[in-house]
Amino acid sequence: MTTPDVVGAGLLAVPLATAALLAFFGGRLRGKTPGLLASGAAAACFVLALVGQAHLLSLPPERRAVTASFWPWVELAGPDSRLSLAVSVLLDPLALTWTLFITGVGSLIFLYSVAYMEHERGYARYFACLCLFLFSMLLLVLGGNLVLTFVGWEGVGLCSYLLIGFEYGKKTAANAGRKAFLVNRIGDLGFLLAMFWTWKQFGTLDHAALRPLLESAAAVPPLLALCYFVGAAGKSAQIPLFVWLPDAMAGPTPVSALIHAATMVTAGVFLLCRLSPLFLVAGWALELVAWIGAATALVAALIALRQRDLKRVLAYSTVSQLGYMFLACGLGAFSSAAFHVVTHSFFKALLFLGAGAVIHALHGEQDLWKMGGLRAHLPKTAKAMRFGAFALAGIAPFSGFFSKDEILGVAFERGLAGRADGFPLFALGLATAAITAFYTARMMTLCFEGESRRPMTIGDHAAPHEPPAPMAFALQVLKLLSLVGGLALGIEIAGWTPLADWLEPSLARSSEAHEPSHLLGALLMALALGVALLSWRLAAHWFRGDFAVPRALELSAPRAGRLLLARFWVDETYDRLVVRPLRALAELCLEFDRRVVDGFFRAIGSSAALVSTLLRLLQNGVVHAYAFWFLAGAALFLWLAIG
Amino acid sequence: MVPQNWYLLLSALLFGLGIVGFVSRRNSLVMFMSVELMLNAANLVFVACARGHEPVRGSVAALFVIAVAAAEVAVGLALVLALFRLKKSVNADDAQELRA
Repeated sequence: MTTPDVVGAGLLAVPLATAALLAFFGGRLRGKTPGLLASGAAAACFVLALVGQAHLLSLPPERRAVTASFWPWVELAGPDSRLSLAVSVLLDPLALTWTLFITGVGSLIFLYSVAYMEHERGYARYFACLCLFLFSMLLLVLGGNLVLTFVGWEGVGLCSYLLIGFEYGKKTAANAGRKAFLVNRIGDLGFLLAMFWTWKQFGTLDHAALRPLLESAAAVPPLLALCYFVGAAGKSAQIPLFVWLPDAMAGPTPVSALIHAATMVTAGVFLLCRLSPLFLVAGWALELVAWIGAATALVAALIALRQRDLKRVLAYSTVSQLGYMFLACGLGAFSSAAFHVVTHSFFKALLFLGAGAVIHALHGEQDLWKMGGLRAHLPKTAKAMRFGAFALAGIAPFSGFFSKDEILGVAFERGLAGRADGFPLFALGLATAAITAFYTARMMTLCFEGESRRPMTIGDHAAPHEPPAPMAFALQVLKLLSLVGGLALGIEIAGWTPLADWLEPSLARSSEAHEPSHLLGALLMALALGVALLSWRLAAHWFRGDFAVPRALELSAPRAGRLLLARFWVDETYDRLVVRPLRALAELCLEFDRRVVDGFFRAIGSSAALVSTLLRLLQNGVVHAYAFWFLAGAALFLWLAIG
Repeated sequence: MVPQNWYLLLSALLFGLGIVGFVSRRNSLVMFMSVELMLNAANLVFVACARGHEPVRGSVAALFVIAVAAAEVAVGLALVLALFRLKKSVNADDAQELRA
């Protein structure tokens, strides 16, 4: 057994075994045991990931892609093609980067859940699902071929369904779970088609074998890349498939943190990064990715401006930040996308867990208009969330600033290089950055500053209080990561950038994606920082006092306000264009089934019943009647025999 | 010698009487006797035809029918007896329990 074997097998076996244990015997475990068991499993995975990291670091950069193969899985041979798949794990810098933050941030969320879910029903079920989620996500990133990645991909979809609908008694939660699952299936179909096509084109689905083929390919059909993008857009909530993510907040808050930060939504970006050589030669498909990313970022940010629900604001901010990541991928700067994924996982987990602490303190209240002035009661939570909010808003030196700035820099440089779409994309990104800072500041101000707007209820004996120790610990660690994550991973020291150089062997890099020179980079940083600070201050000022300015704005542009409040009527449009026609079709099928298909078989049945009713008249119990019919029959046969 | 057709005519007459008696009478003993009448009508045909064509076989068939009729009487009378015990009547219309 070599180190990669142990790491790969352990990373998959530990969460799976824990999930099975909790699923089958979790009900018999008392108290917090299931939660502690699951957290221990997640932490063990993190340690294994660190071991894997150390092993790869000991190898020279060009050999940092180790495959650990466990057993042959599919062996098919046709006359002129064959499919050979093994259950294998590919350990390379890309997979390990994802593994590290999945297990690292994941462990913190698990630990947080131990306290957060303490009084909920289905404690063991919750942690069983959580472990299965972790397993699926790790299978997704570690799987040595596209089919294993797809298995993980589906597993993630299933677990998100189970966890979003965790409180299945609540109709909203059950519906949100179903919606997430169904919308994801559209994306999954894209992935599946793309996989078939890839096999037809290249004859293999193995990541390691596919890579040199893709790198030597002059071009691939843009539609093939587009199919993969549809899959990625489903998982990572891009236009037009982003509708499920904001609803996914119906699940428990730590689940939102897990889905939004560590798992699930980063899967789409991972797929794009994993297939970066394919996308680079896919022509217009890559540009489409950039535009969709930029549009998603802007639209989601606009929607977030007017949401009342704390978690919904955060949900739309995730959609928006994912848009940045896709923008980076579309610009060919895959390492920038990965960088933003990592920093985003830190600060978004922090924000969601902080929001969970606030909701926990307010006994389930999520409406921003019923908060306010909470800093006095929750000073530590407020401070931790402030770190996350600064990172989200892109304020230096917090982590989100560096990764976002890198993406904007690449877009600007593309414009300088003479590409027509460079500057418009940069402008979209910068506008989104301004809006992001604004809505983040609005959320923070409404939640923690100003006067309390909490309704006074009789018997409100428990004033809001700080969360218990495990939750507070998770917040503190994430706070630290949100502060230093960007600096530590993304800053260039003497031509060496930690994350980008580490990822370099596993990502293809577009020859066009350059980062700007130092002077220009500094100017752009200053510009982005200035914009973010300005809109932060503006929002913090507007939403602190008597809300005079927002009210005046609302009155002057009521239609725009309603448009944002109603989230651009996207859900309603889908309802009208997709859901209702499908439902009508389903009802038509039901009618056909009931009337024609069932009718046919019922007619057979009732005709037999009718005949029997008639025949039954003969059996009247009168011996003479029997004798008569008997003789009549005999006479008939006689007549037939003679005549 | 009496022509064979006359025997057949007589037999048909007896058989018809048996049928009419069996179907129209309510008393199960009379119905029983009507059955015997029909059996004997058949016997008459056997014997009449045996005389001209197959003396042995025809007579054997008639003997068979007589033997079967004797057995039938044993079972049938037992049934009538059982019916009388159950219903205090030998009227066939009183037993209609098997009506559907």
